[in-house]
Amino acid sequence: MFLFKKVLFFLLIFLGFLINCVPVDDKISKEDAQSQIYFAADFKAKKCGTSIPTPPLLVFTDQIQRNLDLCTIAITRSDCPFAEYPIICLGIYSPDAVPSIPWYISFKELSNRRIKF
Amino acid sequence: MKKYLIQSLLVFCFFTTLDLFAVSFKGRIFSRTKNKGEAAVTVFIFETKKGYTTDEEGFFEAEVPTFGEYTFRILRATGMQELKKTVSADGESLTLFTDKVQAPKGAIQVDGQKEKTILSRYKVRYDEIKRMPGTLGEALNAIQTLPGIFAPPFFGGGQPGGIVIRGNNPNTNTILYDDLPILYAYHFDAINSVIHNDLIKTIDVYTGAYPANYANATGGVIEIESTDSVKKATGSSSISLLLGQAMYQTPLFNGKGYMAAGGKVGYLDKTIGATGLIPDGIRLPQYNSSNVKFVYNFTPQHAISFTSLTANDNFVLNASTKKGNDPTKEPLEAIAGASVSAGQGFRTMGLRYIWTPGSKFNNRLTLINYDPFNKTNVKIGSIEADFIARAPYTGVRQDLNWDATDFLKIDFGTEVRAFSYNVSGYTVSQKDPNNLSPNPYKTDNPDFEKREITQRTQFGYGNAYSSWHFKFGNLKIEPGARYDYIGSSKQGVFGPRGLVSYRFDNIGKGMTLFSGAGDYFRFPFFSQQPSLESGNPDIKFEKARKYGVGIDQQITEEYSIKGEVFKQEFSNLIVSDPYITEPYGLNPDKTQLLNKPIVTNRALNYSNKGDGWSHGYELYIKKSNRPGSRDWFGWISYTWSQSYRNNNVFVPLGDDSSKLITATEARVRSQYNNSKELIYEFDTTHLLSVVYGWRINEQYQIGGRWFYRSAFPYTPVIGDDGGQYTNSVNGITIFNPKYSDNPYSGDYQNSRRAKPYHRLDFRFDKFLNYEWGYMNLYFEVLNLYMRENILTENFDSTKPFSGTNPSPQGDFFLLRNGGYKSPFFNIGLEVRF
Repeated sequence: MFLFKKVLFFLLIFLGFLINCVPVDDKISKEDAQSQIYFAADFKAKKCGTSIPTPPLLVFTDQIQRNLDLCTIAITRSDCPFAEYPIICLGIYSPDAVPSIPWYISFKELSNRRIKF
Repeated sequence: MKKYLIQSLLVFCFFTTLDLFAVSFKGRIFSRTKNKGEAAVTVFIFETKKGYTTDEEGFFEAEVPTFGEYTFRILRATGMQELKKTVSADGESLTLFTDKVQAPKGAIQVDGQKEKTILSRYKVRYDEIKRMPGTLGEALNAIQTLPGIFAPPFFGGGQPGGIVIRGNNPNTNTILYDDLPILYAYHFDAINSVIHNDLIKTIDVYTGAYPANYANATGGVIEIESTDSVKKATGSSSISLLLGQAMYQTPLFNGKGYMAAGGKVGYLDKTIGATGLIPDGIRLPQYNSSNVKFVYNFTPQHAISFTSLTANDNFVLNASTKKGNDPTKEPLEAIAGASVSAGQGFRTMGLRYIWTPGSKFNNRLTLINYDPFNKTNVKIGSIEADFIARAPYTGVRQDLNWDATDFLKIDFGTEVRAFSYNVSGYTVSQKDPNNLSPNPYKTDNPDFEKREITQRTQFGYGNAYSSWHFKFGNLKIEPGARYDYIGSSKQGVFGPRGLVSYRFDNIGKGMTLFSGAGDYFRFPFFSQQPSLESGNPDIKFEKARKYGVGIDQQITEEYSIKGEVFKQEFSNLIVSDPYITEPYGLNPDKTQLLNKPIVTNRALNYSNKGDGWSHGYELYIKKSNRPGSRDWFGWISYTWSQSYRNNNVFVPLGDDSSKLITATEARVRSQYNNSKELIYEFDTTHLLSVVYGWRINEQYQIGGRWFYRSAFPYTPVIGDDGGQYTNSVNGITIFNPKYSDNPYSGDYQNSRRAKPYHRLDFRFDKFLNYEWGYMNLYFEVLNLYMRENILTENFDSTKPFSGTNPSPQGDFFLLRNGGYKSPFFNIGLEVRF
């Protein structure tokens, strides 16, 4: 019985050390990412009195949250008319996180630089 | 990974060496009457046939082949004395008492101490809970492992300092320290309590029908009993990542009295706040608390005590108005320009005179001064509030216990209080309390309105109670009653209650069947709800009728099992009511008092229309150990319950919700109830705790706790308002969440729950013993298997509703960093001298 308690204790300690090595996948599924982009575009289209630009911005892979958020925030904060997508949305096709935006680049201006897909 | 593996193997090797040797221990022969160890006596262990001689302090060192009970024969010139004692751990200290303390001549053995009810009461000893894992070093957190009790974490949207008992709102509990009131049990971090660990002797939690001497709770009662004797001067101090605390206690006046004092200082803002994990603009809670107790026994018949309790908490948020260049790094963007400064605290002082004229009678007279306060300064869009509220009282309370006959004990008590309720400033209120998503940035027909609440009100309060404890053999019948009266509204409530129990001595070590019921009341003394200026002065006491029936089986001296079925019916619950008015009243807008002092259809804002119920059952299996022994202890507690509430206030449906209505329409709506009975927001269907603690030897202690509960219900977001409004400070579009207003929809209020919450906590203690005391290093891991517990869903108002918004809001006890996750951990050091 005493040995059993000690082994149990060891296992708990061992598990406690091992768990620090568990990697996490924080990516957003492509379905959820597509939904986030669609609702952002839908909001902007309604506000500008236009339809969602075609072809739509399609997501093919799971997304890094930062890249996805930069794209959808840029969509919602860009000026009307809404005929193309902000260029920062290219980030959703990058496997790496979009680097920090330098202080001398205005996010507002970045949002209004657009690209036709 | 390799490093961790080696470390783990080292730990394994260390612990597996313990069994290779015989069990050695240190014994002491001690005389209680002489209060010292017996020197130079021979101790003979009968089973091993080995003898030892004690040193000047009465100590001896011995070995036995294995754990178990041994016969110790103490050989003196005057004869032999035989004692039996169990050796249960390697390296332990065993004290063999050779005599008993005789009561001094003339001393009074009080039999009339209040016997505590068996119904709906759970008790934990300080030594059982002090080092419980998952408590982050806070003993009071351990009550969460008892049946029916849960404290929602602050960082999960719960109320700071809230303890949910049997699915009731935390505000409906009464928390007492030596029968003195405290405003809140926990500091703002919801982890550390306002009571110093080492000044707690026991904690009793009454989860259902409670005795007549407690009051003002439709939820439960938490009674913390302080240290009641100090034999020698001791002190302790400890530090952890969250706070520092210190305690000192010493006997005074040649043992006729004692003093115990403790204090805590929280510095979350200096530790976690300095890591960069907290967004700029948030200053994590700062807090401090102190507890002081002084006792002096003039004679065995007369004693006085003085107790002082204080606590202060504050928290500040100032969301920058500067617009950042990277919106993903601006977590406070939605509330840019907002400022929140919140503080709360209390000061309680009690001067008590205890009169014990004989063995059958005991009376306590307590002078109480209590001063709770709350400071709030908030500005978020149209939400503006700035006020300081205090509700101090001075009261005198008397409690007596009298053994009237062999079969009857009587408790009787009275209390009077001179209350005042002082508020200065203004607050904010929601125009329609049924609106689940009020928008602070709405500019046309705002959802919030400012309300002037300055007032100074004084009123009296009194109560009286009595409990009669009849005992006929194994049958106990305990009727009781209580009366509470409030002078301002001239209302009194009478609460009868009773308990019947029967003990069968021959079943195991004793089996008790019990059943009880009663009426219980609560009045919001420290609230705007009954305010003459900003509330409804006709607010009545909230009422709960509680029933319970159960069984308590003592299986052996160590093992026990207790089960209970309960039901609670609530009525007169205070709810926000936008339709209740009085025909004429003082103009609430004080700037208009000269021009238009009287208004018609004055809003009263609150009514007693709410009702509800809860029911369930609890199971508690416990393995105790003897205080101070090395034996393991633990318990399993399980609760199943349901809790429902109905506000009984008209709920406008569809387009009606945004219409402005006339006074006549408001009066009609106040009479028409279309609300639906809903699962209560604090409903927790399943609650399970498994607790284990074991003092291995003098150097090490381990403990584990597994905790499982159903998630709280929440209302799902079903869309947004289309981003109609903006935060004028930074021009960001605010998307306000939209909730279902269809009572028959599957998305209606409190219709969803996240996946069940569960986690395993572990604690390891290392003791370093010195001549002057000891140091206790501890390491605690919470959520050992890193369960991603979800508390609720979180809507980001800078983004439209979508598949990713709302997103699940995770638990605080899982750390994420650099693509890796790890459990929450805490390390600490306690020094005791």
